[in-house]
Amino acid sequence: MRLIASRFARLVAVLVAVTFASFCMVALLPGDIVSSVLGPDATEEAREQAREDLNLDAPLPVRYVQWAADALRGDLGVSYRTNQPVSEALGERVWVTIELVLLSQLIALAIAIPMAIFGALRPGSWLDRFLSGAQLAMLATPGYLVAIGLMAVFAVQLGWFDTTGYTRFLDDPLANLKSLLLPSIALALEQVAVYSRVLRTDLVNTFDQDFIWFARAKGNTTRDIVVRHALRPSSIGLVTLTGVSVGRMIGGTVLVETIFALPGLGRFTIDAINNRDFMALQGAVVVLTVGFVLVNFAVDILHGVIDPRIRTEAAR
Amino acid sequence: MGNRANRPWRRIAAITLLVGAVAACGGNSPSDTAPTQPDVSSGETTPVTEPPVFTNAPTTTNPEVEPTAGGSLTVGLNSESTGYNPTADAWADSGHNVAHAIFDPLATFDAGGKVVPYLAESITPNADATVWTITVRSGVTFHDGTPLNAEAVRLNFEANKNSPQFGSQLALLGSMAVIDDLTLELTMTQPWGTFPNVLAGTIGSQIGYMAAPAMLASADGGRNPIGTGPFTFVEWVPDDHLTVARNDNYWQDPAYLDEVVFRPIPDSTARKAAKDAGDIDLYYTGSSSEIQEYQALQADGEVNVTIGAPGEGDMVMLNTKSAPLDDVRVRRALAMSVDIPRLFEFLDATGVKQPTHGPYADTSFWYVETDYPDYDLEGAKALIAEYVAEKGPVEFEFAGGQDPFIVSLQELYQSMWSEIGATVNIVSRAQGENISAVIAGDFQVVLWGGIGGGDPDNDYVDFHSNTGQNFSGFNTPEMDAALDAGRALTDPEARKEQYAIVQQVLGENVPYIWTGTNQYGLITATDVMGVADFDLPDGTPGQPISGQVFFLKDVWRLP
Repeated sequence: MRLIASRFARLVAVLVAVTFASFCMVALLPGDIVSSVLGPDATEEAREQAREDLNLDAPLPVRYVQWAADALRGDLGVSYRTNQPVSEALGERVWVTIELVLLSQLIALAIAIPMAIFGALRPGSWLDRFLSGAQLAMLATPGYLVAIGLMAVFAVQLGWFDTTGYTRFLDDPLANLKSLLLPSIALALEQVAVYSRVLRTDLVNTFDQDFIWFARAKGNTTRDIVVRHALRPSSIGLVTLTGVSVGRMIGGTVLVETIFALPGLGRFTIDAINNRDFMALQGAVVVLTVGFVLVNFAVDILHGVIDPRIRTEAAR
Repeated sequence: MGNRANRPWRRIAAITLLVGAVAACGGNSPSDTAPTQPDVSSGETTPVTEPPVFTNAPTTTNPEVEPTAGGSLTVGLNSESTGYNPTADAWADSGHNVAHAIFDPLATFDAGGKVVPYLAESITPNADATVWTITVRSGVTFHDGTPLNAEAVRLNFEANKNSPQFGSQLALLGSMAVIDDLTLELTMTQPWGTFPNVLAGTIGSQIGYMAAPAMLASADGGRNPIGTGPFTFVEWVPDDHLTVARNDNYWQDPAYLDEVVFRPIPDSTARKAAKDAGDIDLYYTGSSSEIQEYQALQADGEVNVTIGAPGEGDMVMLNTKSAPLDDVRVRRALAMSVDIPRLFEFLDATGVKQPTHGPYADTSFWYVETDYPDYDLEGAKALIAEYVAEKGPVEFEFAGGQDPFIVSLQELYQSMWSEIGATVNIVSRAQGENISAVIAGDFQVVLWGGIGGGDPDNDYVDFHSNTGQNFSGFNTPEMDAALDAGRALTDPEARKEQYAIVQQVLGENVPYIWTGTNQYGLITATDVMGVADFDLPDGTPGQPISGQVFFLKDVWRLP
């Protein structure tokens, strides 16, 4: 309970810090929303009026407090550009990004864990070296290239998937999965390398410990040793990384959503930044921050599940 | 293209277009080569120029097969719009394609490029073009069942007049009076011979599209558009798709297609891939390398390419209030050192782009030869040397977007200008920031767009001294007088005389460096028919594609 309370306090602090920072950053960028909405041909009076309507002349802290007060009441305001309530716009988009991140995490783990195990079983073998070379290649290939390459091969040449576009889960679950698979893989590949290298190193260390030698001496099969004994104590680093990398992945969704034309939060955020649409941006930042903090909160709890010592320490 | 509208988009577009491969944002004007006759109601066609260059792919229409109703068409767009209220949302250029499905413009272009009434029965001026009378067709209803009448048209004009984005386009509109159910009278504050031009629903002008009064009144109208068009709005998931279905109660023959799905795909490579994979049936591109690639495939019968008329040009704008650009010798030298073939080679425009020597393409009715300098490296060096000896070194900032391609393009200019002894400092800014800087006059040289191409009156605010939007800062009393006269006159030849003066002054003083025209290709699947067909209400052929904006009512698919 105390843990949850302290986490909640931390969430609030993080939210205030992040939203204020993003508010300031957009305000510091040259160019303003009025130019973006009205264009170069609007009259100076129209510009003044728009600035007044949008309250852009008020000092930054005042505007932030006004926004925060509304946000606390659950009102994220209305987009400057589209006049659409921000919460409504976010509601349409957030699921695309959640699905995308979730699916790519699953794919990254599904590839990374076996790679790490096979590498760790015979460190320095040709297989280990080959796998680590493959991981380096994944890490080094720019995301844009991966996305376009996947599209060219699997959508254009083979025709297995749609090149672009999104189908809602409720409309057609299978088509939904199909529309997200290529973008998820594009987003996952970079993580595969990081995940499997961390897990491999941890596994190699674990394999060297006494209890593993003991298990071997008892005549357990390699499979049993890996699955029952080694994987759990070796996965703390990986689990932490999975949580932290959600942030990185959210960054990646900007690119992937743009290329695959998915109506997600990443594309929404970058549009908001480019157009200095504070309201839309702030809403997106809140959702992304809350999501990120919650994921990492879940990771902390998972730590306790994986390693009982952490639980007892936290309780003390 | 109107007096003004959507200019930010045109400019951004024109600037984006420079990203040859990024393809296909950008302004193009339907009336590039043909001026508008003032009497748009008479139906007499006295073409004052040859029709626009319009090389239709012949294969888009197969005379042996009768058009059949049914089927769905998926259209790939290069960008998403913020909403579809014509009076409130400044559309991306692709927004006009959606708008052409849902709304009808009051006027459009006939096959010769002349503005003719479309949703309006007639648009008639009085003798000095100070009073215009619009009569709408009877029996037309909006998709929500309400009738299209003079009051509905008045409400649309009123909303535009009050709109901060589009109000300046109707600056000359003084008052309106509903004469009877179908007749609206508009009184202008001064003669406005080219008024119907802004009603044709083209890039840069949204005023002509008629939206239902209920939609205009609703805060949510832009997300639930209601028009009189051949297709009714079904659903919109922003950034994913917008679906429309055939309007069976259309005031003309109903469209053939059951539905059209518009899909914004911002990445040009992905858009092309989507076409290649058959996920979209139609898209347009401004990339001449892409057009050429598809033209090769067209020869094998794999795809159809339809090319529209050339549009407004790419250009570089010089701030004539800022030294050293306040000196005409420097400006002329910069223009003289731009090697257009080298530029085109870089822009991938082999054969599709045409060099320009002023605001209007050489093939345009409006074009006159001026003293605009030709390429002359030695002459340019001499001018710069003269300036340096007198006033000191030539150094300036050259602003543009942040796209790497744009930066490379700027570097190409930089190298050409360095050759004549100018020091060029490249500045990269985000689009919004770039526009703000130009408005504030905080620039020296900038990659710009959205000037020239269409009817010269469209450039009034860019060239005249009294508008506050003459960003180059250049004007002369002579040019102001010619712009005012050209606006008031109705006879094309008489107007051309005035605009010849404008072009001559611009050519001598070079506040802008003109490079080349923009061009668009419509890429369609081979079973998409009728892209190059568009009949006017009286059965005569209209102009199906204006720039990259196309009509879909006569498009059909092979069963």
